[in-house]
Amino acid sequence: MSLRLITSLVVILFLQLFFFNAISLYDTAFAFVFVMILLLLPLDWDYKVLITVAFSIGILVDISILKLGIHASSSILIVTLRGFWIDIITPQINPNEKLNFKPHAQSLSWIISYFTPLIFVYSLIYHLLSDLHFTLNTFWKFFATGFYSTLLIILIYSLFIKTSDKR
Amino acid sequence: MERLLELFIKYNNFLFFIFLQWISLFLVFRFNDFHKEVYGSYMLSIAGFFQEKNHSIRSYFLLADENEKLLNENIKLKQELIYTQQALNAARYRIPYSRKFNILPDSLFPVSVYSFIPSKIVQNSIYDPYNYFIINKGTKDGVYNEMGVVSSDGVVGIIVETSENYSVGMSLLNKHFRLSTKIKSTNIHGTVHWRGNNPKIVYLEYIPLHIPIQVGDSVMTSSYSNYFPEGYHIGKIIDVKDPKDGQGFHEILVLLSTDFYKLENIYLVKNKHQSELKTLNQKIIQFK
Repeated sequence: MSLRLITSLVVILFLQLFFFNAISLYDTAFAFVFVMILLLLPLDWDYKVLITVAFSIGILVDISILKLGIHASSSILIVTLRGFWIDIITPQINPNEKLNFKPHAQSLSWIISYFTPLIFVYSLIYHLLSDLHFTLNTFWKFFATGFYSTLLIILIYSLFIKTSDKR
Repeated sequence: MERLLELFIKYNNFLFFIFLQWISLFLVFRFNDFHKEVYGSYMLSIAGFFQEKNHSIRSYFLLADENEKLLNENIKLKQELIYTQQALNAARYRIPYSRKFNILPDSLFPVSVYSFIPSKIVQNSIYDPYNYFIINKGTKDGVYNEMGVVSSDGVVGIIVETSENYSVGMSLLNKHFRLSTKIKSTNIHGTVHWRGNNPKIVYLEYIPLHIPIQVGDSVMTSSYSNYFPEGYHIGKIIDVKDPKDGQGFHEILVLLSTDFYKLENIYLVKNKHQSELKTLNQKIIQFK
């Protein structure tokens, strides 16, 4: 994990805490840009370290929106699920290579197929946990948040992360 | 212990995941008002569910006592009902008198001559032409011959034989059994008689043809009966057939209110004046 990538991810976390939290659309579509950090965390990290970092990031975002625990729980789940999803979309890599596998080094089309479903799953977990039931309103929030966050994450990734990593 | 430790080591990642999830969910349900409220109401409904089940299990073991209490309560209510009916009947004749003197005489509230003993049927037949039943009360419980037997729905029969602990009753579903009755709306007296076949249907006999009969009318015990209190339900008229040739009476079919198929709890009717009435009846026979 390069220093540039680490810096970019820290900046994204700060932006999430002080900017993206405030730009929700009609209280329906929320910008969960920090999910990108969770998805780009190195695969070679120990699982316990990985979920502790995910939990800490989630708690930080929770504190910033005064909804303690919801992002923390969703973050732990999503970093656990991402390994399974990589196995599905990249069946050619073997378990030994997987530790050295770098998502940010892959093509943009792979990144889109990696990010999109997981961001939608994150949105679903978050809204289910937030509403504690599934109504049409929950569905709209899940869909709008998934779509809005995916759009912002792909945009930010292709404009800043991908290019900064190439340099 | 070692195996347990091995399991902990083997699944340490999963257990750590569960631990962090538990902390997260604890924070969710501890520090968010909405979640706290939902959690509270959910817990309350779970507690309520278990309490209700617990209560129903405990009630099940207390059913016998409850049943006993209800039977006694029923007897009290029956006695009160008969007492009230007698008071009402008496009032019909006393009202002019009470209006005149602006008082209600004491005789308006006569002492009831009927009392009840709760019992259970231990054997019952309904498919013979001459049906009998056995109850679990005998002479030591104060049962004697010719006591009326009723259920909470209607008339059942009369006692014909007693032993120390048990008694035999002649069922209403017995071709020998005849009961003095009246039609509720017209007060016309007749006799109820079972002719066999259907254990739900009896015939109301000796109602003259000039008396109009309405299907749906109630048939009840009359004051002519020494065994049952007046006004005790027997059944409802369901059909009126053409009279048999040469007979001047209606053929009235009555649907019994007592379900003899599932008869269990019954009451024995004790008429305090029964022996007195019996002696007088014997005198009448001698006069003839």
